[in-house]
Amino acid sequence: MQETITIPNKLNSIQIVLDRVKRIHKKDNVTQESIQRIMIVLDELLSNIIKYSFQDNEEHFIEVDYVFNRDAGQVEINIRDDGRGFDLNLYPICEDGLNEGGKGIKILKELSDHIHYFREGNLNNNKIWIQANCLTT
Amino acid sequence: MEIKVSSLEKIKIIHILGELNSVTSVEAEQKIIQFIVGGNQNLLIDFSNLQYISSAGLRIFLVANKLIKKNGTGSISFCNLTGTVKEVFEISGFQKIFRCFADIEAAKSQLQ
Repeated sequence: MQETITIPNKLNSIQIVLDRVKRIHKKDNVTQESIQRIMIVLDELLSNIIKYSFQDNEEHFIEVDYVFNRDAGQVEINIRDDGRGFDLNLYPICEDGLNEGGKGIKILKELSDHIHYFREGNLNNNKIWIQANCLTT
Repeated sequence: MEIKVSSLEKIKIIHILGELNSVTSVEAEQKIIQFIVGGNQNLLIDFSNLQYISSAGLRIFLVANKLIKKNGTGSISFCNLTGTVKEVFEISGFQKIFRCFADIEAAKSQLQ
């Protein structure tokens, strides 16, 4: 199963992606806990891109490729944007509980199996793999 | 996302239903801050009907906690953390800085 979702670089647009992913998994047997983890990872990554990747006030578009591999029990997400880009693997994680910054990246890294960043032409690609466990019948 | 409020003597219980993400947290933060500014300084946040929380949701409680500490001697505690909500609290270190109770009953015996 593969789907591409395109949204403008507005925080409110994240809900479009989250709702679409919920619909994708509505009729399969992926556990609620796995879906919630996917929601959190998408929210962290998309909000990070929308807040920090664009340095002008122009409208930009963000493309989310969502692939659910049922046999592997894994979701593969590739998010493309034309902002300044950042490799999440190079960002330090925040250890201070009371500090407001850096928590999102720590959560994102902990809940993902693997994160890979690469630049292709003028596009940043953030590729993330997350477990999608299915209920056994 | 929906917020309901109930009382436990001097403590206000804020029940958060649904999802706390970058989109829904904007409204949730406004409501909770208004609530604190309105004189409610001792809050118990009930997550029994919360599906998940991201860092945007956590930020609400850091802001709220700062406001409460600035105003006086109140506190924020949490109860009914399960699944991914509990996991995010552990990852972020929130379980070390805030009091977390198994349920409302457990909070009641400790907070009063």
